[in-house]
Amino acid sequence: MRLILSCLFCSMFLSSAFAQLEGEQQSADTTTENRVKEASLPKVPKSFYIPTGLRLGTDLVALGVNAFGDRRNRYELQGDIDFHRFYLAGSYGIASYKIDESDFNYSNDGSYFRIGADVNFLKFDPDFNTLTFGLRYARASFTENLNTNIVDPIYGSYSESFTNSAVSARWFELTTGLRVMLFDNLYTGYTIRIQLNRKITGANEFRSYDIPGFGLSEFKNRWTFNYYLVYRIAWREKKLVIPGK
Amino acid sequence: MRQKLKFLTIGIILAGVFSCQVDSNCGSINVDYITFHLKSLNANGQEQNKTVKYDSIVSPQANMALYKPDSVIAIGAFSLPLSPAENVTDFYLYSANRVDSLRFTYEKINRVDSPECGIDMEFVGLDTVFHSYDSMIIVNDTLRRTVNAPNIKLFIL
Repeated sequence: MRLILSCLFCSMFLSSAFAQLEGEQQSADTTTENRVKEASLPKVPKSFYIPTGLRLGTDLVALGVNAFGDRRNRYELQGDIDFHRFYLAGSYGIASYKIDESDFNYSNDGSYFRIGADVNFLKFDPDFNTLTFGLRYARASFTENLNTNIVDPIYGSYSESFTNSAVSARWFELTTGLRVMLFDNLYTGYTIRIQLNRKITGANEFRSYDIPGFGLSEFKNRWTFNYYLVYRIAWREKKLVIPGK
Repeated sequence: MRQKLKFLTIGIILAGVFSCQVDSNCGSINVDYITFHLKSLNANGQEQNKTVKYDSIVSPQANMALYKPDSVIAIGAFSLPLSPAENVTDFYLYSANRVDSLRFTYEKINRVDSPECGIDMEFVGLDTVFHSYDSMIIVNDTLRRTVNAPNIKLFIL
């Protein structure tokens, strides 16, 4: 089921990406005249690399899970700043997770951050809508507790408590995201994250179960999804270069 | 263009939400028992399977006898559970003409499998502190379902 949905998800994403690229190619290659004009365009001025605004947002999926789930609590702040087509992006979040069952209870509490860069593939959008691909380095620090109350049919009942007091995890992410302007400076959109090469250190007393910002630690590689509501604080206008005009 | 982007966004959200749930099947490969094979050596020093008629097998840590057959039959392979409450388990194996004892130490690592499946335990680093057999080989010191070979070979010469 998960595999089928993942395939569906990837195909949707790829079709959208190609649609974007084709659209841009069509607008640029309509006539020979346009191609000549584009070829003769000046290089991007250095002033274009001066940031025009800061986008700050929060993950609505996390807020939804907080509201409707009873195990996980997560709050995430996400931001990026533009350098022409390149974005310096980062996020910081706090998260906790708990399971309360009759034979055991587990809890964790910690924070995480991601830092990286994106490239925007929507070159000439006056609303600053973006379709980005990027890389992230992510790190989480957390503590976790496990209390067991087991009844073994042969050896009887026993209780144990374990604490991993200073666990840290790191992983890398390949990301793609779309931001679409809803109203003036208010954007919405998703980020898909392919999380890779997860490594955990400091889980000495028991195996980590859940990593803030990553999810279940049994996976070394996985993918996840965020849906953001973002506000753009603009401090500078950029004169857009539109091919053929 | 914007309409298209909005539809795309909504579609991806729905796909993401429905595929986020991880299926759990409680299929752990870890087990809590040691598997034994009884062996002897022939004149050429080669291993041979051996069978013994055990009257009972007990552990002082357990609440009940681990093995107490209605009629005594010869067995050549058997498995005994380790105590999950401690890092040491003793076994006494009673047969008609002898009593053998074994003491194992090990490390137990807990892992949350899932809320539905509960706690999974890995028993690793199996070692013996004491045994009364003629010889013994620890073949696998990690208790896993997938390992075909026994954990322990007990030699009765």
